[in-house]
Amino acid sequence: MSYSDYGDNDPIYGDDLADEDRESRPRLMLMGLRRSGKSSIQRVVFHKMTPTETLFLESTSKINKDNIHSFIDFQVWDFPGQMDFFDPTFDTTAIFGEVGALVFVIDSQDDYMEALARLHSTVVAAYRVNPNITFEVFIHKVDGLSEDYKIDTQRDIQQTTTDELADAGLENVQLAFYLTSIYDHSIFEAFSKVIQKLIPQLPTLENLLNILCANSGIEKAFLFDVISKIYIATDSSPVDSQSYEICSDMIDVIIDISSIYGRAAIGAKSQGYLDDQQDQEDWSHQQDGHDDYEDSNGGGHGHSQAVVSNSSRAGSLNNQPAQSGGNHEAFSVIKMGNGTVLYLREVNKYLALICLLRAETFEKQGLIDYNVHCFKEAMDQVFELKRAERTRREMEANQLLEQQHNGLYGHG
Amino acid sequence: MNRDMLKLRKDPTIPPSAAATVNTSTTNAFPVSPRLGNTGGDSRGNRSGRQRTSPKGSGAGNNAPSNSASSNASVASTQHPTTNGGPAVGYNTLGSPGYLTGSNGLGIGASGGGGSSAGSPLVTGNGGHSQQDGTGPSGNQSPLQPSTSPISSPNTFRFDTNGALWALSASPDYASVAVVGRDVLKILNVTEWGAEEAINLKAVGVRNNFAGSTDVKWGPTTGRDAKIATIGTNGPIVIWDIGTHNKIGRTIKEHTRSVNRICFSPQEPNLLLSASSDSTIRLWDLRVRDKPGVIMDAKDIVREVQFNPTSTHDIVAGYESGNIQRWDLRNPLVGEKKFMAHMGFVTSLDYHPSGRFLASGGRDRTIKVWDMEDEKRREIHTIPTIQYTSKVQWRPNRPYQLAASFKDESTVQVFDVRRPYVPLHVLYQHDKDATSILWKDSDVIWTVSKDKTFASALVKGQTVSADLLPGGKAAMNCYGQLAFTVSTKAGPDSFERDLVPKPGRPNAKAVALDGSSEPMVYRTRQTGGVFDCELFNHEAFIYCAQNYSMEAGNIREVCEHNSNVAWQANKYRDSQAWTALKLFFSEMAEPAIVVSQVDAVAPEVTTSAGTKEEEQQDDDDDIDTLEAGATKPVVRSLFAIKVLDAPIKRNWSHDDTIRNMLEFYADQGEVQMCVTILLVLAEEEDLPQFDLSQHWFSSYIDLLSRFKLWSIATAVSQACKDDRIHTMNQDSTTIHTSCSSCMKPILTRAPSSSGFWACDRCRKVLSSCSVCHKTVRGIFTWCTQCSHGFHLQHAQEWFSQSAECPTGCGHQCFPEMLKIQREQEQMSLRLETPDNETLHDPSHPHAHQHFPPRSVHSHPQQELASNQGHSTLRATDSDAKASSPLSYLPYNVV
Repeated sequence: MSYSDYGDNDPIYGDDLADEDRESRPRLMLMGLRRSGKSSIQRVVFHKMTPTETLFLESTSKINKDNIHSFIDFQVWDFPGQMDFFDPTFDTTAIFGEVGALVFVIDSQDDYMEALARLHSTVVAAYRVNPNITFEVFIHKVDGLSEDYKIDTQRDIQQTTTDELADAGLENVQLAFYLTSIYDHSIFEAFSKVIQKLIPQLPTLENLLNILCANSGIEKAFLFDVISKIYIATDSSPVDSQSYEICSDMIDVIIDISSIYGRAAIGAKSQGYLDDQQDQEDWSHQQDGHDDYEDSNGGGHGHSQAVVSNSSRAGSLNNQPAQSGGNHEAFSVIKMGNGTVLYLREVNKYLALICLLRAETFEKQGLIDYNVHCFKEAMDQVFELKRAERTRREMEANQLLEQQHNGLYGHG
Repeated sequence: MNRDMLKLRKDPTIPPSAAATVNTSTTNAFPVSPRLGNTGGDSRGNRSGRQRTSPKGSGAGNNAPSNSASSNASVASTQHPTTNGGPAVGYNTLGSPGYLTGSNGLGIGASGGGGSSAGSPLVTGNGGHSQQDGTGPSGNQSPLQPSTSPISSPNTFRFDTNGALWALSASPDYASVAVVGRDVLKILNVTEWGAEEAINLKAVGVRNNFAGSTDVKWGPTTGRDAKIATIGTNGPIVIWDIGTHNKIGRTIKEHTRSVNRICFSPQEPNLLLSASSDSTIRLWDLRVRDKPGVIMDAKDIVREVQFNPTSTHDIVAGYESGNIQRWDLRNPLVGEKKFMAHMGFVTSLDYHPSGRFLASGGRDRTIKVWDMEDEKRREIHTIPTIQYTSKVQWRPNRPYQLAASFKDESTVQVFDVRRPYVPLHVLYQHDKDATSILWKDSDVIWTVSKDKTFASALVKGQTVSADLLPGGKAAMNCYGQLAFTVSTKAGPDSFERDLVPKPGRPNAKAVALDGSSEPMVYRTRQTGGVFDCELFNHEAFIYCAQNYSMEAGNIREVCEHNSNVAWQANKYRDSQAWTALKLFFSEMAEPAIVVSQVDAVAPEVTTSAGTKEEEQQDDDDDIDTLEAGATKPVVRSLFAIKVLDAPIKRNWSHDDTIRNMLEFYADQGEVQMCVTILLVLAEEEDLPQFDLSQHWFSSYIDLLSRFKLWSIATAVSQACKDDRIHTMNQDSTTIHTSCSSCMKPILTRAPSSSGFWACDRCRKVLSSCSVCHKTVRGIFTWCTQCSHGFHLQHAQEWFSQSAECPTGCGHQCFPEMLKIQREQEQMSLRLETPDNETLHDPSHPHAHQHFPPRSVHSHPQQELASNQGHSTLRATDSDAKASSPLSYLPYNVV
């Protein structure tokens, strides 16, 4: 399935409405020297390109705007590396004015002195225009470096950059540094942290997840954006890479299985992200027959000896309308050999909640199901506010437009 | 002593070796009473002293035998019998505090029947298994026991709290401890002998909607002002006034995101620090209820915050990004020194009691020790750990030691920073992940765990895990040399004696953690050596590898050749084997004729044609048995020679012989013979199949690689018909670059700070330009004969002026230049003699090209082409200097 083009063809959020929608859409900029890996990052994270394919990407020659329509809408601007900010024709105000986050990519395997100079000038220029911008520095292509060398590189880059900024009188500019590589999960994790800073509801989501974890005996809970495998929120306990990786892999497994066993809805599934009309089409497979529910439940315990037993099922709740309120819900449980249970539940068409919990805790599955249900309702309420806000603003804009039109007609 | 009166106890859970020790020591003098008693209640016959040697809670029996001997020995000098049942602590004469307890029958102790043992304490030094005597519900036997588990030794017990625990904090006098978890909020009274629940705050918490807590800190105030602070799982910091009434004193909700850590000031009892995910550190004065906290904007998620124990205003914070930053509370607007400490978040920080050093644990699975007064921002010690630490704390009064608990790890480990790779002690206290630790004093550590228990462990006397490591190692190289090391340990617990001053440049500022000026590191006392085993004749192996022919098809000649090779390598048996092979397959030289064995009764020799007779003759020459004239008729009578049209088959099979031969060589480990024979016979149709042939090939290739016979290894791999061997060098081929002066490979994953551009070993810049002496990054051009390299541009400039190598090595890298210069001279002198042919070097490929000096700039394309030819084409040019020494050339063309 291909997600490669989601965004630009969107009937609602097309470019014609971009101006109007701009405020609600944080903009994320990818910058860096040429050949530092910006477009590769964009392709791998947002377009499901496999890392090896990125070798054949052409170099970017113009600013490539990419509208990401996921749980939060944002734009990724992929800048060509050779862009010169000191060119007077370059409109820094327009570019940096509404940027939420500026991601600067540094090729760690190269001599990065030039990149640091460019980073410095970029930060200075951008900060002057927009002090609210968050600067994220990806020390990229670290897959080729040893552990010791990685930390030395990061330390060196971080020290040089902050010292230079301090010399320029910009002590307050905060740069966040990440070691990334497109060949492992680090790029997704780094992007998760970048995106999280752009989500205004993050504290609320985190708190909700904390409460969910505390009350359900869940060790770790992630709220994943399913397409990009970015987690947009997690509970406040520290994220270790293994738990992130296993949750991320679980999404792959579920998507793969759903594309095999899912019914016709799957055909629409890959486009489901594109098409708002298919609002209620979930991304997971929908098996036939409600007896799957009992099956997987009963069989779940029997699978404890298997290293990974997948009692994945979905859509079962749509046979029980009283509980689900008519929503399709994807739901999957993977029991691991080491006594850990992975619990996935669809939250809405973009988001999935993935929890890591111990097998003994999972014996109270009913409680967990109920808690997750409450969590979903809370989430809906949180984002209802946002939606209401947006609708209100759109209406206001329309009214304004109408007034203008009326005014024009009046004058005419 | 009446033995019948006294029963010998033998606990089945004691490992046999330990039990044997116990039995020996007890039956020799004092049998053990089975009588159980409570601590201190019974006054009869409890003249027993007992030394704690190793209070291992879960009783993993890995240290019993070695320890028991030593503890028995040391206890022999102990003369502190306690006269009644109260717990008593004594010091043995060896100087190390050992606990002698009068726990009446709780340990494997003795009850002297009738006073026969009065005055001489019985000691069983059985290495820490003595608590398993079943006198009570001991913690390790019944982890779910919901009550205090009195165990025979002081400070070793577990207490079940009915809920997974996340954090603990002790009251200033260490008489009570607050433990918190997901649904636990309790205060326990702790004695040496166990813990009991004093206050359960959960009900109050639930009423106020605080389900559980992620962290707890006990304030330094005592008495009526006593406070504890907890972080609710749903966000707020809750201050409990436990001094007066157990209720919530204050709830701090100002943090917009969850709070990760709180910390009381050790100097100012009412100051509380909180570190939060909302990127702030806040300082609260608990005396003023409504005063908002002082905000320190960290601009990063703050995971951990700690006060400097020697200062009122110096704090340190650990961030999600792996940075550690120092803050001064007097200036909360601007943070002080910030440095990159870990990859991934900082999990735990602890200030050294000296206030100068800081230990930090991070997601990169290391504990690092920092000198906070040093400007270098470099760790002074690094301890690699099995998982990332959840909590790290310095051991009181042991300036070099710290304890750490780890994520998803049930053990707690005590490290000495001078010996970072082996933990000093490993404490098996818990069944599930230990979540937090707290030193009660320098010998006792308290831990909480997800297995719902609070545990106390005595660290003093634990086995030093490094003593359990084998000290000897041996390894063999491909030249038959055996290298070995033997540990020359001075004895158990010799750690302190094996410390040496830290090697490296003397640093005037370096200060050891204990305040002395000389940092020490542990150096293993080992003696090593190399022993020449002469098990393997590597010279013959190399000679054969280089000279054996592996060509399939022409078996006769190849076998003859290989036989000679083996003979020259003094491998006479191999030489004969090749000869035999040649004989086996010789008869196939003329495929139309088959020598077949006929019935022995057939007396005649059937000869079809003269040519066959010759062939037979030929065979006779080769086959030894047929050579003797006397045997000829006999043999002839056995064979008939027939002409067969088709198909041709060998009538007597060598399969078994060849199989035997190969198996013999495989048994001998002579993979060289196995592989070469297989390759030579590869075209034979009915060659027996060997299950192990793939292994033979891979080990032969491996062996060839060890002797750096790369080309032969590749040839073997390509000649092999097995797909896995054949494709071995077709996937993931790695080409390493090497330093041109010392041949050390320049690894892509170079751990050095120099990266790819300098050699770590010989400290030379790699592939430097002979003109500007800088590293060439990009196209590297070099002279194939003197192997000096240049930037392309520098080479162009230089050789437009001169023919000699710029290094001054005297080589004329660019003889054309000389010729051109001569021409110019001649032109200027207007001499017409065409003797410049004498300067012409006929072997030079560019000899006929004339480059006027100016053309370098006017025709850069042409010059580029010529330079490339200069550097690369000549190496492959068969005409040019095939005999010139091909020095190794660094391959840096990116």
